[in-house]
Amino acid sequence: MQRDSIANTLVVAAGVCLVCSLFVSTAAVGLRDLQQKNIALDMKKNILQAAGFSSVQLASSGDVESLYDSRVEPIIIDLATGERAADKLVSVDDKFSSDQQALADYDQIQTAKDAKSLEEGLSRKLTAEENTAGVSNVEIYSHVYLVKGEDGRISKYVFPVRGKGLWSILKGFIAVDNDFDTIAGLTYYEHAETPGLGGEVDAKWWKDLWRDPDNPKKIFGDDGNVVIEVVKGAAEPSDEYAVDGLSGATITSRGVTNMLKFWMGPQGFGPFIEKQKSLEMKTASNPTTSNPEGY
Amino acid sequence: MAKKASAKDLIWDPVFNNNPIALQILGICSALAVTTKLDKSITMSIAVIFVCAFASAGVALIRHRIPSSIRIIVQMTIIASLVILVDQFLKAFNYGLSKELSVFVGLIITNCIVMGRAEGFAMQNTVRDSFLDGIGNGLGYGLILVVVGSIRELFGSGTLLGFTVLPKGEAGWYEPNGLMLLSPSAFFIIGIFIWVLRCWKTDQMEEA
Repeated sequence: MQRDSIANTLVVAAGVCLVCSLFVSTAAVGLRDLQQKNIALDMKKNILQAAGFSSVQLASSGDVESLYDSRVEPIIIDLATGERAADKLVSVDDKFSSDQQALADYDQIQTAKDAKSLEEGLSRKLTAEENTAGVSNVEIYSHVYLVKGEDGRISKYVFPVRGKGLWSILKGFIAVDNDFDTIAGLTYYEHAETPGLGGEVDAKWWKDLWRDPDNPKKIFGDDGNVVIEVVKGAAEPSDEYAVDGLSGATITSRGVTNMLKFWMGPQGFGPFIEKQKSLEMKTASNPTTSNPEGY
Repeated sequence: MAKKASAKDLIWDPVFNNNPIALQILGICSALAVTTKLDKSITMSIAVIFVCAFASAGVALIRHRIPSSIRIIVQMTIIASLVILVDQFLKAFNYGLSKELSVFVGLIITNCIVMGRAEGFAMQNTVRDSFLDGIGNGLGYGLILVVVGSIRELFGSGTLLGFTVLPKGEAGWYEPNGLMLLSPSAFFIIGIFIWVLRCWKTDQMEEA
C-alpha cells in the first residue's frame, strides 16, 4: 500500500484511534473504583477540615475514615421544611432507600443538574430573583453533616454550599457552631478559579480567616438576615460580619458572599436552622424531656 | 541522522547540552505553573518523561506507515491518549496531587517538547533511539522543574517536600519570600539557570 494513498491514510487513522481508545478506556474503566473512592475520601476530608480538624489529624486516609466514622453523622433533610427526609426520599423514588450506603451515595449536585429531577420532584427551578448564587436548579433534599465533639454531643453542623465565581461553580462546605451563628470553617473542594487570585479560596491563609479563634465570624445579623460578607480589601478586625477579600479576585469574592447569603438564607438551610433553634429552645425551657426530634 | 548515537548520548545530551527548556526554550508555560512545590515538580517531571518516551516510541514504531498528510494528528492522538492515561493513574493513586496539578497534567498534550520530539526525532529514528531520546528530553525538562521547584519551595515556603527547612512563624526566623510563589519568579530562576549553564557550556551562547 502506498504510504500517502487515501486507503493507507484511512487505515492508519482508524488503527491509531482504535488502539489508543482501547488503552484509554481500559484505564478509565479499570481505575474508576479507585478514583471514586478517592473522591469520596476527599469529600470526607473536606467536611472534617471545615469542621476544624487539622491537617495533622487528617494525615492518612485511615485517619480520615476513622475520624469521619466516629465523629460525623450524615443526614438528609428537606430544604424547604428543614425536616429530616430520608423516608420521603424513599417514597419519591425507588432509587433511594433508607439504607445508610444509599444515603451516602445521594449526589445532590448531580440531582439538581439532572433534567429528570424536575419531573421526579427532586429539584426545582429558581426564579431569576431567587437565583442569587448562580445555580439555576436547586435540589429539594440536601445532605447535612452533624459533627460530634469528644463527648458525643453535636458541636458543629457542616452544610454543603456552592455558587458561581468567575469561571466556575465553587463547591465547598461551611461549618457552623451549634449556636447556629458562629462560622467554624469554610472549605472548597472543587473550583476552577484563577490560580493565585480567585484560586486562593482554598488556600490555608484565607480559610484560616474564617476560623480565627480570636476573631470569630458570625452569619446572622440582629434582624435574622444573613449579613456575613467578603469585603473588598481588608476587613475591620472588630467586624464579625466581614472577611478580607481576595485581591485581584473581586468576582470570586462576591461569589463567596452570594453563595453564603443564598445557602444560609430561606432558599437554603434557613428553615433547617430555624427548626433546630426552636427545638433547642423547647428543650432548654423543659430540660426534663429529651429531644426526640432533634438530631 | 547519519551516525549512530549511543544510548548514553541519547539520554544525557538533552539534559545539559541540548536542554529543551534552557536551549530550545520550549515548555516554559508548565515550568512556571507547576513549580511552586517540589512534589508537584517531581510528579510533573515523571509524567512528562513517561509521555515523551512512550509517545516517541509509539510514533517511531509506525513511522513508515504514517502518511505525511495526517502525521501531526496521528502524533497528537498518541500523545493525548498517553496523557489521559497519566491523568487517570494520578487520579486513582494520588488524588491530592492530581487536584493540585489540575489542568496542567492535561496540558502536557500541548507541551512543545513532546510534540517536538515526536515530529523532529521519532519520525526518522528507530523505536529504541526514540524511546531513549524521549526519556532524555523528559529528564532535561524534569531537571529544570526540580531545580526551579526546590528553589521556589525553599524560599517561598521555607520547606522542601513539605518538611520545614527554614523555620518560619513565631518559633522561626525565616520570612518567606512571597514572590517565589508567584509565576514571575520562575522566569528569574530559569533565566539564571540558563545563564549559569551557558557560562559552563560556552558553545550554547548565542551570537550577540
